[in-house]
Amino acid sequence: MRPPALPPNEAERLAELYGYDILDTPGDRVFDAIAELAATIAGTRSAGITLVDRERQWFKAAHGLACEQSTREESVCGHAILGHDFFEVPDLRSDERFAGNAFLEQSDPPIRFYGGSQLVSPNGHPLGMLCVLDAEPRQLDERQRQALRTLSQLAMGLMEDHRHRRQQEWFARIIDSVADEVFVADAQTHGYVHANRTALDNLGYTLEQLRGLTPVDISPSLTRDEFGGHVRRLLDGVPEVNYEGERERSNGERYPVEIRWQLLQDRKRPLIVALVHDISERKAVEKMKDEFVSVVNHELRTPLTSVHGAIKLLATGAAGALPPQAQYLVQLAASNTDRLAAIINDILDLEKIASGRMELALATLDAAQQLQEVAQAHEGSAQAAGVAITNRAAPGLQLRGDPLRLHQVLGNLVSNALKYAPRGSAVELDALDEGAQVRLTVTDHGSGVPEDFRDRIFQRFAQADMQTTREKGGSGLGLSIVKRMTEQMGGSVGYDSRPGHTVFHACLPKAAT
Amino acid sequence: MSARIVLVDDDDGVRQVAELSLQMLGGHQVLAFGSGEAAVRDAASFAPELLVLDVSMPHMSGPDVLGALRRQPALQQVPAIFLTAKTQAKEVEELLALGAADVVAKPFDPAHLCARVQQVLAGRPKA
Repeated sequence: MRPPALPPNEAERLAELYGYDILDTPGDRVFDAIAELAATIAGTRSAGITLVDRERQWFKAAHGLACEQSTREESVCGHAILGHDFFEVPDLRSDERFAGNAFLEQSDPPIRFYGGSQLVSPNGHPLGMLCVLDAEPRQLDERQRQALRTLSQLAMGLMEDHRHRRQQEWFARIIDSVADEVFVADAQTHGYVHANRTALDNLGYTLEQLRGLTPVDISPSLTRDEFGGHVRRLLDGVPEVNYEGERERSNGERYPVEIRWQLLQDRKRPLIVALVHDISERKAVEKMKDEFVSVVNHELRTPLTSVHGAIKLLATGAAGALPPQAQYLVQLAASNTDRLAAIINDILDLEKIASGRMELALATLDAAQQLQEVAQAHEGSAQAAGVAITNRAAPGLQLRGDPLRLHQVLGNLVSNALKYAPRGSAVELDALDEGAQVRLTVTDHGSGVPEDFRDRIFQRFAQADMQTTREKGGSGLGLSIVKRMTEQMGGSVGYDSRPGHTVFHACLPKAAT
Repeated sequence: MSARIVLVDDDDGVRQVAELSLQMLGGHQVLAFGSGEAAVRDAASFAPELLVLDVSMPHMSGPDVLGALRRQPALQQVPAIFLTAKTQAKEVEELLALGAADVVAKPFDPAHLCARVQQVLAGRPKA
């Protein structure tokens, strides 16, 4: 006896065999029927469908043969897959490759004849054999061989089907295990075609029930026209359509979701696929944050209002004239409650911007007039600082912005400039036409932005040093708010600084004329 | 111009500061209440010319108080100013839409509060 050699590309052949995921699967009536048919056509006692594994041959089907597997060394099929197409040995005992083969001899009755057609994969690898076996030496005629060839192709077709089914099962299992809801719907009727386990569990429908529904049926806030619009955009080539919405379970409960639709285009009848993410938790956290911010706002402002008001009343002398030292202390307290109030406002503004709830009322504004108004609003603090504010902007340049927010942006830049401008110098305001944009500038002649501060100047709580915070006041939030507010108005901010000359700018879209 | 003003705020500190501001800086006569319920019961007898109402109060909010007072025949036309910690443009608009003459943000400067009161009393259009 001689064990079979290994075919060329054995590793690839095995990889392909394993790809079918068929080894050690339970018996299958159709494979069994093919084996039985093969025995009948060949007129042999038995027949089998075998697959040649690394170290064994395994029988997917065996007719008239009490055998599940044998070693590859003793297998005839191991030899049969080395040849071309058909392999036939009229008398195994008289062939030196099989003489004394224990597996063949110990079968009941011993196997003397082998004829078989290869199971060839689409990539050309022989994975196993459809073989007929008999207890007596014999020969097949050409018609029988041809019939066995056809049957082996049929068996191979079944293997392909099995592979596809297994892949589908896998994908279905993977899709079912995804924590998000997955839906497939018909792009024309909008009717659901498929949904994963998560979707069915969340909604409380069976797949059959869901197949009678469309996305509009389970989305209380979505109208037929709206959804039709989404689908049309997908069909028009928009890669994906995203929106937040609400879903209604079969028991009437609702939950918030984020939905992403895509088109499956490589089909005659296009399908649309949705990934739906339950955002209940996110919404709950957002709500908690909102409540927290609102409570903090109220709880901070209420005592601050008393402190602030009481101190200001004292400072005005309403409660009687104060001795100079007391007056000084009261002024100190008053300016610091101003600062505290500004910090609370800044934090709330930042929170609103971060959560996308900053409301903008865009209008066409005259750049010079806006600068003038900001200059006037800072006249008092400019005088206190011994600094002049000069507005160089000429009227006529129109921009788009929210007047309230623009005042905040420019006010922040101006009060910063005033903080750093040397006594006796000027802070200059200007507006420049830059084509599609208007550049508003605030220039001071202070010491300039320190080198090591430049890359984080627009970050939250950034201040050049803590000493500055104490000397100059401010929350360290101002420039971060300036940047975000300007960006929300469709603009940008930046600066240019050297000792004695610092220019901050906010660029905003020019108003259409 | 001295006026009779009804002030409602549940916070003792804020209420006292507002009361003192209106009295000392504005020279007004102030009747202050710590709850909306008390104001609704007793405000009319004071024949106020102006209402200054806190917005966020337990039990009865400022808007609730305004509604209840406006249902009293004697107080139908009395102008009102809201004091509020919420100062988003939308929130201010909502308060004005309820029929308030003005909205003053907390914390306020006593002088600023008196100036706004003066404006409303003079019947000037709101800022």
